[in-house]
Amino acid sequence: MLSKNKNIRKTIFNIVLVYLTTTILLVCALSFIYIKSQKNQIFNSTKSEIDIRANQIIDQLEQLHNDYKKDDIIIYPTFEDIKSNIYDIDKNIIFKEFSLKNINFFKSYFLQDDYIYFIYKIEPYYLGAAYLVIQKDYKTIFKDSTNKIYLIVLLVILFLVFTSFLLAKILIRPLSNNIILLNRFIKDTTHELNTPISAILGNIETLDYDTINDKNLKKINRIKIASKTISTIYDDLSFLLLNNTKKSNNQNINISEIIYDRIEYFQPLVDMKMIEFKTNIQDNIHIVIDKLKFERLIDNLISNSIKYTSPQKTITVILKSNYLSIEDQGCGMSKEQIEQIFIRYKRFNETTGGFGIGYSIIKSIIDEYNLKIDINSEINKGTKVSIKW
Amino acid sequence: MVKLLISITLITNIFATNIFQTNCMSCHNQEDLTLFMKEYTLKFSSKKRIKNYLYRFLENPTSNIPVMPYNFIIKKGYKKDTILTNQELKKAIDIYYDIYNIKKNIR
Repeated sequence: MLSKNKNIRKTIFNIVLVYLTTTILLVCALSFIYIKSQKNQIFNSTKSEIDIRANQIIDQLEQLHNDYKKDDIIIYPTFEDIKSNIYDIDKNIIFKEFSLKNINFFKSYFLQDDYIYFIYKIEPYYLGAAYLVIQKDYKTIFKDSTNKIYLIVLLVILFLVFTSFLLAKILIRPLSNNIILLNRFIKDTTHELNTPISAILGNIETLDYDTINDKNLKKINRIKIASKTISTIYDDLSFLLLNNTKKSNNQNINISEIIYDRIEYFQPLVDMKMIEFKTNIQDNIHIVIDKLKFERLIDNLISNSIKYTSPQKTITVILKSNYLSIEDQGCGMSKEQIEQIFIRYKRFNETTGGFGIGYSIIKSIIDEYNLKIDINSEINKGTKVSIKW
Repeated sequence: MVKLLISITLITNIFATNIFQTNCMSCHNQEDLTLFMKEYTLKFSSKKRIKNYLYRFLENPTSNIPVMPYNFIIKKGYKKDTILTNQELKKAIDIYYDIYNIKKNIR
């Protein structure tokens, strides 16, 4: 029940999104700081090790230089954990264990191609060496520690995702319970309203109008209109409450007949407001749609037009093979109002009544059937709603 | 023609080596020359700088501060001015460097 409610799902999603975004950002920032400090720590310890090696090499160069006699072979000192090159004062290579181009001798260290290089100045120039460059595998130094950190970050993020969902559900539970209770109440109430409204309408339809005088006929007509209005509201509320749970019963239906039928249904209301219905309805237009949903679509379009059209004006209904339009001569809407028209419970005119759910229902139906809706409106001139399929 | 060229090169080299042998090795033994090269290498590092210094020093030995230690100079005395032409001096330095260069022996 909880997951079925769109609004609750959206709220949970929003809470989770905000919570996750902030916490993941925090985790990433902390990880970044931690990785940086780890790198510094590893760099410092590596630097100390390399410093020791550099001193060993320089000491051996000194000894080799001092012990040198003509044509002696000088064996360059090498170590397993590092490689080193020596350069003269003009940066010419004297001896090399690795190849590297474009060395910036002004730096004390630099990183290049997964290796870290440390540069030491030597003076006096034993064996002519003015610079000692030591190469150390950088990748293996940091790989293990950074991999561990990334794994921890991933686990923390997964844990956060799990806890955020749990937290959101716990937080939202009282609210969702209230919504469920409210929905149940509205559902029960509308259900309870259905029986008396149907009884009123049924009885009015079966009245013997010949025996009723004009005065009472007018009163009965008003009762009929009021009952139909309540019936339309009931249908809209039922649609909103049950639409998510009911499966669409799509059929190839004759919408021309339905439109005629619905115009006839609203005729007493139109007559009472002294509005004229102009129709240009092509016969036998068929589309595949749920009949009840199409009725809700038409009812809402017509009832909205009736609601906002002033007396003695006209409502024009046109139906073509792939096109339906309902045009009224009502108060019209501004561009801003048209942009907000599909928002549920949004009302632009408090005097005309209603719940602001009509266009929300229209939107859900046109979205379900991929219909195209166009609303052209001008203040104080009227509104034309066109639907294409 | 090729034979002639080879002969000229060989003669030139022998002549050049003779420049070094007759003008340098007449006063300095192998040990001295090795010691000099060790000192020059220790102080000047690169081939270019060693040769430059040697040229400047040998061109006018008294006005240039010698690299060798004071005791060595006292024992051997100051170097006399060279009688070689600039080109001959440069050639002799090149031969000296090629023979006594320490760096070439690093393995």
